[in-house]
Amino acid sequence: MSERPKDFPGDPQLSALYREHVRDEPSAAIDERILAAARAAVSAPATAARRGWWQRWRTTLALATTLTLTLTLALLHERLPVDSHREAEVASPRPVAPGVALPSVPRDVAAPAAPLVVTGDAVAGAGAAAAGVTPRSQAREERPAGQRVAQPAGESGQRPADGDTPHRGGSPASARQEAAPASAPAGVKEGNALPAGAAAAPAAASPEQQGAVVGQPPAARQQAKAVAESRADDGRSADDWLEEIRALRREGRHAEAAKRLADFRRAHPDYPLPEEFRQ
Amino acid sequence: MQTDWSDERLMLAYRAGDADAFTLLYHRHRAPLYRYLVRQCGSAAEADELHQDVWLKVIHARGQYEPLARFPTWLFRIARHRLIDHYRQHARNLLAHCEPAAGADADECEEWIERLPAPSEEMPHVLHERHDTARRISLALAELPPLQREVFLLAEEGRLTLDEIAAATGCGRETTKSRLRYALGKLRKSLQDLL
Repeated sequence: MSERPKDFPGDPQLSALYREHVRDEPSAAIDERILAAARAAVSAPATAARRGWWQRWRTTLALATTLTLTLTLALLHERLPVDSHREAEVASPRPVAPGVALPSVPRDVAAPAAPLVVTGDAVAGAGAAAAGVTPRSQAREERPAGQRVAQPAGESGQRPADGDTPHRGGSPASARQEAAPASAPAGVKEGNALPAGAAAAPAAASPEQQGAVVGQPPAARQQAKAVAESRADDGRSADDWLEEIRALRREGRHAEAAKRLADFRRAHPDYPLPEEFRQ
Repeated sequence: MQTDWSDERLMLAYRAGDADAFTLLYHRHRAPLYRYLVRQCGSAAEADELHQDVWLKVIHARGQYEPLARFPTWLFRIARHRLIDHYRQHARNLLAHCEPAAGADADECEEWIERLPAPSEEMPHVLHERHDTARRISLALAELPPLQREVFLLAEEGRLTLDEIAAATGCGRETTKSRLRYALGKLRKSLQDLL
């Protein structure tokens, strides 16, 4: 209680009489209602705070989860294209017309004896390994041409180990050659070492991939071989090509030489042929 | 112990979330506030409603409470505002009488007594229960002009000082003092045989 000032016009007698006889009070029900409201008012913020925690952190947690998922998917996606391309190519090699004319094949790239099948990437990897390039970068170089083909193991095993310089495949010229009709089937068999991409390191192919390619029909294998061999001409200079034809003529393989010459003319129609090749 | 705490400290504790502090505070002031309301509005039923409303306002305003004045001053100011709202709702013509100019003479309010509801007389059950003395005190209070009665009740029930009453009612200190003196004189005159 505050101290009453001296000039306060109080009347102690009257005040005592008033306090003695006037004792009105609120009912107990009202007291209970008011006290319950007071308790509820101070207990409500606790519940709100519990809800508020989740509401405060909900956005942060959602962002963190989204970021984690995005990062995980991005890391997975970095590896995914190579694997998916491999599977797609093993399952369905690019169709090539039967009996397609195949260009010369480098002989210096030895076809492995042991492996049965190589996939496009495995071939590319092998070629890259021979050239001192990582298989993945090699595969990426080849990817735009869409020329990766599974190589039958038996065929590659019969290729001679000696041959020409390795070549890279996937050029437009080789693509044109894929569609050309076969003029000399023997050419396919003779001197057809695997192209640079298809020559080496089939061990990189997984057993599943090998099994998938082994299961292909012979026609498909033939097509795949033709496409792979067609890459052999890619990147080869016209002089090298003509030198090959000269070598074939010297060896007496005139049919094959004629076929190679025809292929050469298709690939280099404007190249001035030396006198010896003019008929 | 909290029982030794001042009203202001209890209110601050309640603002911080201590419900027991409010309980203690409520029990200290429930009866004086209720009597103030009953005497002012003249009806127990209305006083119940007003009493509850005032305390609910205290509960809801706890976040803004600052101990700038004594707690009873703050509490009775809320009660007075609630009473004015009550008058506005139920007796619009009374509003003008409850808020006269600060310098108005208290004696000019004598005629208002006739217009005011007689608190106790209208409640038969109260008349039967109350003691004769209590009835006479109530009658004497009811006969007081509203402004004088208000000052008397604030001083008696709220234990407010002249300055606090003046601040609560919006009047000057001397006006308040004059009203209180008039109220005490009239009550003494009415209850002289009881003193």
